Amino acid sequence: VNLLRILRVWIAIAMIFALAAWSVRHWVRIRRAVDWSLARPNELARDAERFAHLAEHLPPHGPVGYLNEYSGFRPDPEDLRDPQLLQKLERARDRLVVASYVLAPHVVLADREARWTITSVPPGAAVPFREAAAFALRVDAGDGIALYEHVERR
Amino acid sequence: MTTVLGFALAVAIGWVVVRACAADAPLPLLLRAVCAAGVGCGATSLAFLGWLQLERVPAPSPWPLDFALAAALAIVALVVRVALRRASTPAPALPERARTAAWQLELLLALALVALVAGCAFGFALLSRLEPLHGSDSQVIWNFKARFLFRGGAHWLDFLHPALAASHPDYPLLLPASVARIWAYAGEETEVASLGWAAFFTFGTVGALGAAIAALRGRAAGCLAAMAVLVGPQHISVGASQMADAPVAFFLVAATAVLVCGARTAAGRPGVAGPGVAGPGAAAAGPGHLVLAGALLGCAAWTKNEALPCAGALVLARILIARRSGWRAALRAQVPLQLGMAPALLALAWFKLRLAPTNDLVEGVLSAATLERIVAWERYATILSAFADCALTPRPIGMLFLLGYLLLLGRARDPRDRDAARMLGLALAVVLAGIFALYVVTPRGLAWHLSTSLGRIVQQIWPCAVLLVFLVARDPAAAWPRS
Repeated sequence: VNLLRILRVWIAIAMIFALAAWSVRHWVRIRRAVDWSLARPNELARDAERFAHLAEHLPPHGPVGYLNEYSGFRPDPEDLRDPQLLQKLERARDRLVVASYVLAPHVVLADREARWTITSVPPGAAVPFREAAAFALRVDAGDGIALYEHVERR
Repeated sequence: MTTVLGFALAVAIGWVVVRACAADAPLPLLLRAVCAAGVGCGATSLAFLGWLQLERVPAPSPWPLDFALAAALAIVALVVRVALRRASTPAPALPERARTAAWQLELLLALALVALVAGCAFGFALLSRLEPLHGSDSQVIWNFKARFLFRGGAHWLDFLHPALAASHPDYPLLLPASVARIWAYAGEETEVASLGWAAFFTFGTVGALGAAIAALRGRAAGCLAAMAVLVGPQHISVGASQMADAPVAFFLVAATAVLVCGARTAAGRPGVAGPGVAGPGAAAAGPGHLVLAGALLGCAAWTKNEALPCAGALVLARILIARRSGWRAALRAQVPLQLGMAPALLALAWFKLRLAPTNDLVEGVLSAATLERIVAWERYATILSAFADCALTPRPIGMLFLLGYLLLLGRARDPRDRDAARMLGLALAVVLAGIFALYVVTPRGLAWHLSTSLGRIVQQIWPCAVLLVFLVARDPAAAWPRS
């Protein structure tokens, strides 16, 4: 009976040991995959640097408008089946999140009603302003990220 | 250096509170240490936020504020300590376990635990480096708000702007205030602030649970319990991503550990009827322990919305277990616990009633469509299926593994811990029922809501489930052959 109890204890311990080994192996596997995993966060980190550069030209607080190539875009359910579009939408959303994070305590609003507006569009794409004359480019941080000032709201 | 001072003062302030609360019956040293850091984090975050509210600008360096808080708490602690010593018969400390015949087993498990902690620390560091902006929750919610508190000056409340609804402006502020406070010490937004707290909560959970089980069931069981938490679903990834689920899990398990250890020391106190006492059971924990557990539960509620119902479930379970001695006595026994919770709950009430917008989930639940969701029976099947998946899927450890451990070791049948185990089991059942009900009425897409939140919510109560299983299971060293 005693032997059976010891056997049961060892099985229980072995079970947790196996899980512990699985857990450590999991971290080692992630470490091996690090090169490709680093690609996306680096991209976001570069975006963060660009937004931080724009922040230096803003007043200490207050709202900041934000426009990207999908501002006002209302996709059909059919459109959302396109994986390429989904990927682009996700990338645009990530950039907005990073902009909000980096620019805090400025409140980033998804419109262009404030004096300052940031555009975040793919390089070469049209800036989404209809009456572009009202907006003056103040800083171009590169990669489609720029800061505009509404000349009549100074 | 000033960053270290910020952390050290928080721990020192927590230590003053823990020393006073554990005056009537000592707790294991490791449990006291992690509780001190947790309570210190909560107390200093409240003080920092109070300062912001009064002065409307961040303190250039909050150390005078922290020293004043430490001095005030030390005076209160001295009074409480004297009062507790006069009011109650001193209880013996939890017995230091002598070297048992199974010391080889304990040594083996201790070495395995050290190796696993090292492996998980490596994983934690790896994930922290992989996500320089630290995952969506910390970036969208916690560190985001910390930036308003630190950089915002007179405009620090701008994080409540309706346009920032995605950052859940109604969420409590323990984490943002703790991070912003350390930044104020450092004079810059050092990553050490959020990483330091995240590492503490991730590994402090393991320390609190391991120390409690080692004291109650033996060192071998303590090592195994700590390992079971470390390999638990998402424990390291949630911690390294700086999500608030890690501190909530810490505060809940630390509070439960204090209650359970308190009940055991009280059972050994002269004048208490002893094992199987027909008194208020887990409520028999000394008043100091109850105040400390209450403070930890209050900190949990001050961290994240979901923690408040969890704390409520624990209080409800205590009342139900203690009702054998009469409802009035059972309710009276909760007073020290409520006293401990009071500072954090008052701050939470001020924040929710004066500043924060209504929670979007609550707003959605109060609509007429809720009735339709309640009678949509297919929702129940979907939720049950998700629950089963969570319990049975080894990611890497599911509830099945814990039940397997319990079956293999057998029940301890220690009458001193019976009421504490019942209380914890009941509280977990209430929490699970509450989570189930929440998913039934959620106004959000059910599949989306389940897939994005259930795993993290389970992570919050997972250490408490491990505590329950190891509290009920036999000490593995007890089955060892005697030399």
